[in-house]
This record gives sequence, C-alpha cells and structure tokens, in this order.
Amino acid sequence: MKTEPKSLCRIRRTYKYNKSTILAVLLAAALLCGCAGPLQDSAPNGGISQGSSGGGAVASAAMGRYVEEQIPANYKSYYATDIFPVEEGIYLARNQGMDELLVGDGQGVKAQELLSQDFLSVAESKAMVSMSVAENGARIYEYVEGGQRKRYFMTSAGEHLEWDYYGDGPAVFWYGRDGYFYVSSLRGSAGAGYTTALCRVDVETGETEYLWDIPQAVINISVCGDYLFAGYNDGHDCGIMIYSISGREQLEEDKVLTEALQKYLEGSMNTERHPYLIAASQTGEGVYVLTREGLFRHVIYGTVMEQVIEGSLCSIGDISKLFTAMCVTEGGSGGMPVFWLAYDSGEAVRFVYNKEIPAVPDTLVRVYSLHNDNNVRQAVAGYQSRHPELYVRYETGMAEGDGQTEEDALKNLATQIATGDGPDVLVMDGLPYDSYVEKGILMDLSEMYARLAAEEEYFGNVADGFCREGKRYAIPAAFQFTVLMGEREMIEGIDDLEEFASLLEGLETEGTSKIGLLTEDRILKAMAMVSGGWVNEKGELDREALNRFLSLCRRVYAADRAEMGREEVQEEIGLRANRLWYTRHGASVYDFMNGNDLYCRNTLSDSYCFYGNPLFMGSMGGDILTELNYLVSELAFLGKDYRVFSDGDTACMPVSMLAVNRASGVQVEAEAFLQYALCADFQKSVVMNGVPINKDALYEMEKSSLDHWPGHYSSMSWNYDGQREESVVLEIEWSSGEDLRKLNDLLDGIDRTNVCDTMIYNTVMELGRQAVNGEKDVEETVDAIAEKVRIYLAE
Amino acid sequence: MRKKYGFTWLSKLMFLLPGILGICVFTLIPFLDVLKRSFYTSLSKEFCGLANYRAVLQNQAFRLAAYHTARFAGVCLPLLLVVGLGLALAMDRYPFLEKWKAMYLFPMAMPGASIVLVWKLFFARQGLLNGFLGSRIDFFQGENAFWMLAFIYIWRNLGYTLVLWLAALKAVPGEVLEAARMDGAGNAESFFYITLPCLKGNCFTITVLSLLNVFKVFREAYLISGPYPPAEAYLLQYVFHNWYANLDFDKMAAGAVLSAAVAGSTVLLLKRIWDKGEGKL
Repeated sequence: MKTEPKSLCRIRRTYKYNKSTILAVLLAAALLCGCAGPLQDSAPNGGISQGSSGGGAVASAAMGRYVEEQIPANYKSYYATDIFPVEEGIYLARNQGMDELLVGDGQGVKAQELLSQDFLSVAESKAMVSMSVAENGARIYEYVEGGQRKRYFMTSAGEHLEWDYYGDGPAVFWYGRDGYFYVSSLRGSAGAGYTTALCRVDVETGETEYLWDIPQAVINISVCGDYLFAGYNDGHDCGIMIYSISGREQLEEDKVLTEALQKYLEGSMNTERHPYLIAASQTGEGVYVLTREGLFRHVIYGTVMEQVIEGSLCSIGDISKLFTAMCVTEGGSGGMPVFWLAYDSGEAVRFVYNKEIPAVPDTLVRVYSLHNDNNVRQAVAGYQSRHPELYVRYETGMAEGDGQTEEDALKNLATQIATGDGPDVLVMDGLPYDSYVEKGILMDLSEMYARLAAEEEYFGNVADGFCREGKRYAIPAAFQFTVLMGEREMIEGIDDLEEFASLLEGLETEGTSKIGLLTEDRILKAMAMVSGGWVNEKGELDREALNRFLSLCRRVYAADRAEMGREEVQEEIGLRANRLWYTRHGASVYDFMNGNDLYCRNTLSDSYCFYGNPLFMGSMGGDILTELNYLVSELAFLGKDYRVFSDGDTACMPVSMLAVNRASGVQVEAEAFLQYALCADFQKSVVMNGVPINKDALYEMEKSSLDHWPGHYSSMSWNYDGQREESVVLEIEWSSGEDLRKLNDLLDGIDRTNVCDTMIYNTVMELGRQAVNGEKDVEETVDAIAEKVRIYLAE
Repeated sequence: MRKKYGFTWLSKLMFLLPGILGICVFTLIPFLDVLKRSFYTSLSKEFCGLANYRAVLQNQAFRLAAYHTARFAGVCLPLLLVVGLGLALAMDRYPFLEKWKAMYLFPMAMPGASIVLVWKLFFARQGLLNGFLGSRIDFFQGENAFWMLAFIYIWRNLGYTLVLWLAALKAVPGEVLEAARMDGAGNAESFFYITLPCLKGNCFTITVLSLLNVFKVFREAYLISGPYPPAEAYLLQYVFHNWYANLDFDKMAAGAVLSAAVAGSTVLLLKRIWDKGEGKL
C-alpha cells in the first residue's frame, strides 16, 4: 500500500491545524467585535450627557445628586417672569408686580413680599402683557388698552415714562442682569422673512440704545456676561446665534450648543416662550443650559454638554410646568452651585446638591399609558419631585414617530405582562379594561378609594362607573362632558338625541350648516360622546340601540347639510379641516369660540364664532375653569347659553383611568402614586385635561378663581372679517359665583360614565360612516358591525 | 480502516449539530414550552388539565377560524399546485418563457406592506378595478374577502411553487420521453404516464410546503382588514393574534398545539398515501 512520506503527512497536518487555527481566530475576533459595540450613554433618558457630575445616572452605587426643594410662595397664581440674585437674597418677579424676595436660613427658604406700590397702582387696573424688572426696582412693561399696546418705563423712583421705541410693533423684554433691559421686536413675515431688532434700556436712566438687527425670528434671548445668546426659528432654519455685546458683533456658532438645543428650537414657534434657558455661572466658568431633559453645564465652544440634573427625576421634565427664568448661586452644600428656577405657574424651586443619596434611585416605579397623557405626566413629575428616593418612569405605548399601531403597542404590553415585567401603574385609557379585570391583572382599589373618600370628597357618580361586581379596579383622575350651545329657548328642551335631531331638521338657516359638524366622522364622534352603550348586560351587541344611534346620526347629517349645496359643503369642510380639533371625544368648545385648532386667544368674530351656526356642540376637556371663563363671556356677548348635552341621562367621559398591576413588585409605591394623583393638593395645583375627579380640588380652584387678580381674565380682539369695519375688543371676565354654582350643579347631575370598549367603538366609527352618509342602509351596517363584533365577543 | 470509520458518525454529528441545536433552541424547546403552557392558566399559572383544550374547542371564534382555514387550504392548495404545474410545463415546453421566470419570484421578494398597498389601490371600493369596470364592488368584504385572500396567497406563492416544479421537470429523464415519442405517445400520454409519475415525489414536497404556508397566511390579510376581518377571511392566525393581544395565552397555547397536531397528522397522512401510491407500503 502506498503511504505518504512522513514529511508530507506533517505538512498536511500542519496545514490543517493552521487552517483550523486561522478560522478559529477569525471567528473569535468576529465575536469579540460584535459583542463590543459603541460606548453607551449612561443617562437614564439617553440625554445628551457625555458624562455626568453630581447627578444624572451612572451606576447605582454612585452617590450624590441634586434634590429639588419647593419654595413656599405667597402669590402662586401669578406668572413668574424672572428670578435673579440680589444682595439680600433671590428676587422673584411675578406678573402684576406680585414680587417676592426669597431668603434662605438654616431651615429652608422663605418668601417675603416685595410689592412695589408705584407699580401696583398701575397694574391693578391693567392686564399686563409683559414686564421686566431690574434689581434697582426699575421696570419696563406693556399692557393693552382699547386694542392699543402701551409701554412704559418705570424708574427706580417710581416715575412712569412712556416708552414707544418700537411704536406699535410687538416687543419682548428681558432683564440682562448687567444693568440693562433688552428688548426685541420682530419684523417681517413668513413669506418675506423675519428680522429682529434689538435694543437695550439702561435701568438707571431709561435711555434706549439700538444694538443691531438679527436677521432671524428670535424666540429667546439670554445675556451671560459679554455673551448674548439669541435663539431663533424662522420656520426653515433654527439655531443659536452668539454675539459679543461689547464688540457689537456676531461670533462664531457654538455647534455643540446648537445641536443640544435643536429640537427645542424646532418645536418652539408657537408653544413655550422659553423652551430652554441659559444662565451664566457666577464663577464665570461656562454657562448652564436648561431643557426638558435636564440641566447641563457647557463651556462656550467646548465639546461637552455635562449633565448636572436629570430632568425626568424632578419638575424640570414636567411638561405642564413652563420654566420662565433661572439663576445660579454659589455656596451650596459641598461647594456645589445652587440652581433657582421659576415657572409660569408662579412657583419657584431650587436644586441643592445632596451627597448622601444615590445618584439614581434604586426603586423603579413604572407608569404606563397607551397614548401620551398630560394628567399622568404631571402626576409623575410631581410625585417624583416629592419622592427623590424613587425613580418614577413614565412610559407611553405609542411614542411619537415610531410608527407603531395601537395593536402593536397592546401586544408589546401583553408580552411585558406575560413575562412578569409589566408596568406597575396602568392608565387604562384605550386598554381593554374588562378583559384585564377578568384575567385578574388589576388590583382591587376599593379599600384605597374608601380611605381617600373618607378624607376628601370625590365625584362618586363618575368614579363608581368602574365598579365590577362591587369592586373597583380603576379610578379616573378626571372626566370630560359635552355641552350644547345656542339660544336658551332653543336648547332648553333638548333632553335626548331624538329631540336634538328633530330640532336640527326643523331649523332654517340661510345656506349655512346648522351645527357645523358636516362630516360623518365628526357627527359620529360628537353623538357617541353622549350616546348610551351599545352592549347589553349579557355582553352582546345591543342592535336596537345601535340602530337608533346610526339612524339619528343619519338624520343629523342630512339636516346639518340640508341648506347647503354640495360645493358649499366641500368648501366649508376644506376651510375647517385644518382648524378643527378632532379627537376621540369630538369637537372642543374652542372650535366654535376660536375657529382654530390651535388655542388662539385673539381671534373672534361673528363669522368665526359659531361659523354662523345657530347651534354648536363641544366637549369641555381642557382646563375647566379657563374654558368656563371663555365660554361664559363669549356666550353672554352673543346672547347665547349652554347646557350639558345628554341622551336621556347625562353622561361624562372619564380620562386618565388609573389602575395598579396586581403583579407589581412595588405595589405600595404604586398605590401611593395613585393616591397622590387623586389628591386635592395635586389636582388643584396643575392644569388638568378635564374636570378633576377630586371635588375638593375643584372647589379650591373655584375659590382661587373668585379671589383672582384685578381686572379681566383676558381679552380678545376682533379680526377684520369683512363684515365689520372697526375692530372690537371683547373682555373675557372671570366666571362669577353663579356661573361656578351652575357648573357644579351640572357636574353633580351626571348619571353615568360613558365607557365603551375600544374595539366596538372603532368598528362603529369605521363602518358607521356608510350608514350616516346613506351609502348603505342602517340595518345593513348594523349587520356588518354585528358580524365583526360577534367574532370579537366570541373570542 | 476501522480507525478511519470510527470517527465517521462523530463527524456526521458535528456537521448536523448546529442545525439540530438551532431547531431545538428555536423550534422544539419553544414548542414544548407551549405544550406545557397549554395545561396551565395564562397569568396565575395554575394547572388546569384539559380545561384550555375544552375552552378552545368550544370557542366559536376558533371553530369559525378553523373552518375557514380548512376551506382556504382546500381551495388554494389544489389551485396552487395545478396553476404552478401548468406554468412550469409551459415554461418547459416554450423556453422563451423561462426568461420571465424571475418575474414570478418578485411577489415573494416584495415586502408584504407594499403588496397590500398596491392591492388596496387596485381592489378598493373606489379603486382602479372598480373604476375600470364602472362598479362599486367591495372586494374586501364578505365572500369577496375570501377570494381576495386566496388570490393574494396564490399570487405570492406561485413563483416558489413554479421554481420547485421546474426543478422537478428538469429531473424527468429525457430519454424516456424521447423513447415514448418514438413509440407514438402523444403529449398528453407522455405527461400522464411518464412525467406525472416522475413528479410524484416532488409533488409531495410541494404539497406539504404549501400546506404549511396556508397556516401562515396572516400578514397581508391583517394589513388589509385589521385584527377583525370579515368572517370569511378569519383564519387561525387571527385567533392566535387576538388571543395574544388579549392575554389569553392559555387558549392560544392550546390552540397552537391542536393546530400543530392537525397539520402534523395531515402531513403524515399525505406521506402514507404517497408511499402507498409508490408501493413502498
């Protein structure tokens, strides 16, 4: 037998081993490279931190972070315009001159009144639009009178001098803390382009000095030493321009700073006045930048934004609180600076470093909702700031921009619950409540509610809607209801949808819509708000009720368009399409008041208001007392009235329905969160979407409303609408005691909670359109809905 | 020689091991877990015996879905096999058609969402087809929904089936066909007595694969009709999907086991019939 020479065998073996070795080494290298990955940011919200000092999130073994302290204040309802250090303490400037001096002693900070009588004498009869105050007591302010803007400079001696440097153009004031007020005035238009003229006013002499024009629409100005930061957004581009005040020149852009603030600049055109804040450090080493993500330290033209405070762990991340001013003082614990922050609600807080507590709390409480819920978001922020030992994380199933559908989000939630990793607190809006109760996912909250109800008063008529077999598994934090608006004689006798449809059919309008709903979707949603349930006690679809509902919708649809031609209808729909707020709960009262889906407080006219419709329907779903102020004032002006709309009995729509996961590992903390979210202290101190479920909170808010600042609540001016030649101003008054009593009676009269299974609701909305517009018979549509729902109920 | 063959089984095992491991980790072990879950309640995890199976078999939605899935398989499978084979024969006979072979594979390569978008544009009530016909037929409702689904299933899987049939046809010995022609056999006779018997083995493979694909029809239907389609298009995957979303994991597990048992039994039955037909039994 032929054998290979030994040398050849050795070569072959060597080659084999080398090949294996090479392959093994390559594989190992590939695995190592794959496992390594990029270095991860350690901040819990993935902020812009490249590292952290004294706060933010590193390993839980790290100690020390900033803790928020609430500062008790005397004039909370007055907008806080500025906060800055003075010799005696911290000056907190508020709207209408309700200023305070914050003085710290060993036991915290106390607020002392600092009212300027010279200013108050003017402020008490005027509705101030904007104001800035300097540490020497000088002020520059603006108010509206008879449709005209009036501006004054008040010297430190109390003398009021007219200031009209910019004529009638809108101007915004900032105090630079360098002995000057800075004033910007926007010029131009979106089409032609914007410029901002900048000047400054000496706080001692009142002398005005023109600085320069900024070729952008400036939304925010901050002065830090010799630097002036101008944040701009002209609709196409946004960024931060840096100027040298002494050199009167624009400096190079700080790319790191611009990038960090990009998303706040992009979203800032019509929302917050101060989407971010920049303040100088007293030691002169860099600046502090405040955004919703937290507080960051940055050296101008440096490469790092160093996170100092994590926004999600305190009120900085609370979107209901708009920060208006910030300052930094030295001399805090361990030599760390102290940060003072003022909010639009008039509150002030300070952040003090505490080295004894962990950098990131060990205990996590997860709060979940399918869609963003501002009520819950505010509760999370408030609860977090009161419990620095916890990390309360708010999660939404459908975050903006990620392309998920509701089904996807529900499946993800189901997966989490199945694996035992479900959220601790569930907001049941959009979630299958009955299904979760049936499967024992939710904790029984009956005892907790009983304890709460023993101490404070609640709208039990609303809260009881969630009882199942005598047990309570969810409690709504707020609720909304529908009002019908029109002439008193007309709306008085409308007690159900049948009468409503008959009324519309009997009305005559000259070529306009009768109630301004017009489209199938809007009619279905508006009518569904007040309609009774579509499922009977056996859990089957109530065909009769559904048939009645769709028939009435059809009648309303036909009646609403009866006086209009096809083209007129299309034109009207197109005109309103971009304006009308379109939610699950249908139209808002603002739709009729302002004709605009953005809450625009200065547009009102005959043709806008009601669009010339004799009737309107909308939900009271925002800040209830603010809406009431507007509603009552405008209806009184137009000679109309309102009532809660009902279909036999009066229904409300619950929102922010809170429940606790029975499998939660932090049930005690989760329950405590619910108690906080439902307590009067919280509900009266925030702006809730809807009426707070806590009656005591509502009554406190009403009491504060009656004890309001002098003058009108607000004012609205008429836009020229082609029907009037002169402009008219409507003063929006505070609601009177009688208005509030009427509201309270209406709320106490609510009989039931309108809760509909999401799947059934969506099916009715989707297939009901064809019945409403006459494409299909009502009976045929009910059959189709029943078929779909049959499968759902059979599952 | 013994030394040489002593390691053969080991080297075979080493080659098979990654595949076996993969199947175990990603298929077998999860299935065993599902089997175990089918005897427990979903969230409280208490043993409940056959209660889940009873609940599934008595559930109207499951029975409806099972009926429509069986109907779907009964209609689509033969159609797919016949149409696929017909096209493959045509391509085999007319070589110029082979140039278009790649076109039949496009539906498989296209993302499901894109396909749905195109079909919705085409078949919607206000879609292109209705516009062309001047009608207002709702192709996504009622009985139409079933045929719509069948059409999409066949359209999507035709290329795959076609490729398999073509490969099978290429394997038919050319000499035998030539000999048959020389003996005076016509096209039909050649097909039925030579080609078709040669294709039986492949037919079994294609049938089984297509049958398994029937159980996977869901994505396009879901994208068209959402989680609750018309009853005629309500298949087993819908039930499982909705049970999952509603946290009915126990019923879902039991239903999955039952479906797997039915599918497995069907495949074994087909195998038995095929083997019998080939005289192996």
